[in-house]
Amino acid sequence: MPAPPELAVGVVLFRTDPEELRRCLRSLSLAAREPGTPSLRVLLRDQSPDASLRELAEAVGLGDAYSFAEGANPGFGAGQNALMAAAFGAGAQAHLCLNPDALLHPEALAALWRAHRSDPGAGLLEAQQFPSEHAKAVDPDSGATPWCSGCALLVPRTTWERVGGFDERFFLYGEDVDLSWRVRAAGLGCRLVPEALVLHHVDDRPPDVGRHAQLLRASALLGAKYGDRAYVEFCLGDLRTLRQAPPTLPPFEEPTPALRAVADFAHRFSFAEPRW
Amino acid sequence: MTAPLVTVVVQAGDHPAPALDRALFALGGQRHRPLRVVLAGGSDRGAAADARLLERHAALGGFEAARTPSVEAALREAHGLLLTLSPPALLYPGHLVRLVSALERSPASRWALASGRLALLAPGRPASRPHVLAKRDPWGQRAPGLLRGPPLPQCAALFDLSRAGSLPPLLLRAGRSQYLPRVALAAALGLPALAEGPPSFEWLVERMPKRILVEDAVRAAGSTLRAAARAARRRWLALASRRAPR
Repeated sequence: MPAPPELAVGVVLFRTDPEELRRCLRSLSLAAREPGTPSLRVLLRDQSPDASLRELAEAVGLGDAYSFAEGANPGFGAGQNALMAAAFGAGAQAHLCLNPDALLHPEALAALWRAHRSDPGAGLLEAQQFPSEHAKAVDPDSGATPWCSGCALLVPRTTWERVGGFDERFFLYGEDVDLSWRVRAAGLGCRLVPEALVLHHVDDRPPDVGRHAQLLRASALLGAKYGDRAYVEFCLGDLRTLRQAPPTLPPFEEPTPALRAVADFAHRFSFAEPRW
Repeated sequence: MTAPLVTVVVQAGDHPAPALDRALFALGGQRHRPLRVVLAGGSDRGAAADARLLERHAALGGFEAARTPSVEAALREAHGLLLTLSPPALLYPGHLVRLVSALERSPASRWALASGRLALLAPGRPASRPHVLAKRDPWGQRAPGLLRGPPLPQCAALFDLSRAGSLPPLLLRAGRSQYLPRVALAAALGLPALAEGPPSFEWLVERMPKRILVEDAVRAAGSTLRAAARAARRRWLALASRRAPR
């Protein structure tokens, strides 16, 4: 029986622009040919209202990788959890969560895999967003960072087994910060891999109230989960200013001392000391 | 309506390979199509290595690739819309779209300018692992900053050669420089159309320009002076309230 692919790459789709997806998959295919890239399995989970992206998946030879969620969209984290369960169940050593609007640099997969293999203490490894990276603090030598973005995020099998996947109460945004904090509280590290570039640019998007409100709702949920009432109130205040509906929040939770030690609400939406 | 072809002339130069690689990768992510990227001039990396870098990013399907022996040759052959880029600069995906749109909105303009950021790199890092210490927006998003702020890199400007008549000799002379000769260009071509919106390119530097450091120092001194004046006023008020007759 052939060995299972070492790395699974999971892409969650929701009304994805077909041209954007085509380019993302093209970048994946080019990166897969680079020396040092492990054996690969791509998984596409379509959470759109219809299965029109199936045709594209078939056209690029990924018909077998495509699955349709029957019109249900439980969110990014739940979609990636389903893909991770499938990938690790089939024997993958690591799973890369990849945004469909991202383009991988040809050397990105090899660089991520090299970093994963050389650092067993890294519970999450993220590719560096390019050309404009996040301002959060990063150690220039080790790549250690307070949290990893879900845009191009490598989750080792050991992390999945020890910490689990995303908290599915987060629909979009905030789930990556939460997973990062849980990973760090479990004694593992979050690491940015600067040689692994992923082209994912959000800085020059036009302002969008709906997107910002989504971020505020996710942040309020994060605050409630980590028991920070002042931060939740701050998010709800911004939502009121924007005249946007508040989220339904769970009861405030009491985080463990380990979680409390890593959670950072002092830096608002950076969730870490910014470099600029 | 079909979008116009934009030609980007990349000065190959003797930059470290990762710097050129990153500049080309950023070009591969441009939202504007059609796009032609001309890698111009020789380098100490060798022609074969440069060709490989160019081709692997062209394979993403974002641009058509070409090479020429010199920047001058590339500029002479260019027509339509032209942008020149030197690898320490990175274009954000919307940069060309924004510049093209500014020219479309301003039919009398022969060139357009967009704003960018300065990214300060930690010194002495390997080219494959640059580390950004800080970013600044020294040009702002309005005319005064773009026209009179610190020197702008070549990639801030898009030229419409069909409106400029023929390629101004000025552009040929300036083609090898990293900077835009703004005043001379404005004299030759008239004022540029300004692309509105947030910064859409990044210029990587290992030292902030002196002008920005001076502005920072002045701002810091001003803020210290204001704080000292506020404290002195508070002390004076406290003293005055104690001495006031009851």
